[in-house]
Amino acid sequence: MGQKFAQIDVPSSGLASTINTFDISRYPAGMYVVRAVFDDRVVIKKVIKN
Amino acid sequence: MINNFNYTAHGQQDYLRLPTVNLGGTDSAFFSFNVAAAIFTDTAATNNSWDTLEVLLSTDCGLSYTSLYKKWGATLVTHANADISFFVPSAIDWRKDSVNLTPYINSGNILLAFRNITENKNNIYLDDVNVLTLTINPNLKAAGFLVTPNPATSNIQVQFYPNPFGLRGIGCII
Repeated sequence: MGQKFAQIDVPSSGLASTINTFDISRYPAGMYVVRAVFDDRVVIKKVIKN
Repeated sequence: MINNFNYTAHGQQDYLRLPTVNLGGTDSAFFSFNVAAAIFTDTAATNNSWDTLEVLLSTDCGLSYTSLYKKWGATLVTHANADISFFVPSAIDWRKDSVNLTPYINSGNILLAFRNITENKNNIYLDDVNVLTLTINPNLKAAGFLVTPNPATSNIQVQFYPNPFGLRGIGCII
């Protein structure tokens, strides 16, 4: 648990896309956490992989 | 088709008014259309006058208009060379143009119109005229951060609303 397996880095300009896509098809079924790191906060969402 | 080729008046203004639309409840809106146009003389010619195409918007049923798009001469033409014959476009002569209507989504009924101001040059064609609207997922608007679909089997989309300023990175963790 806690191993990061995919990462989208934000350009140095600080401008990020409003939609970002991860391909999780090759990973086993289970619960994953998507973690977005901002300058002043971290937000997370749980996602289930079937 | 706007037949400026045979329209011998100068400075005459003609309107093509579209049915009113109400953009309420949407989050962004665009007016798009395909245009094909040619001119009679070279766009570099000086002291010339040009046929002009405008897109106008009215919020009072046509009593007054705001100009959202205005092109003539080199900015309007889609056919590379001056054409002294009656212009009929080929497939490569078309261009898609669009106008942002988002500032008017809360303006009630709006009336859009094309205005042609003729200078008896050459023809302008319009096709595929559309008003496109986008509505943001209400769950995304409420949360500001959404992962979909959930559950997922292949791709997941991580969406932010509004634009994620100050975002350093996104990671997926098992």
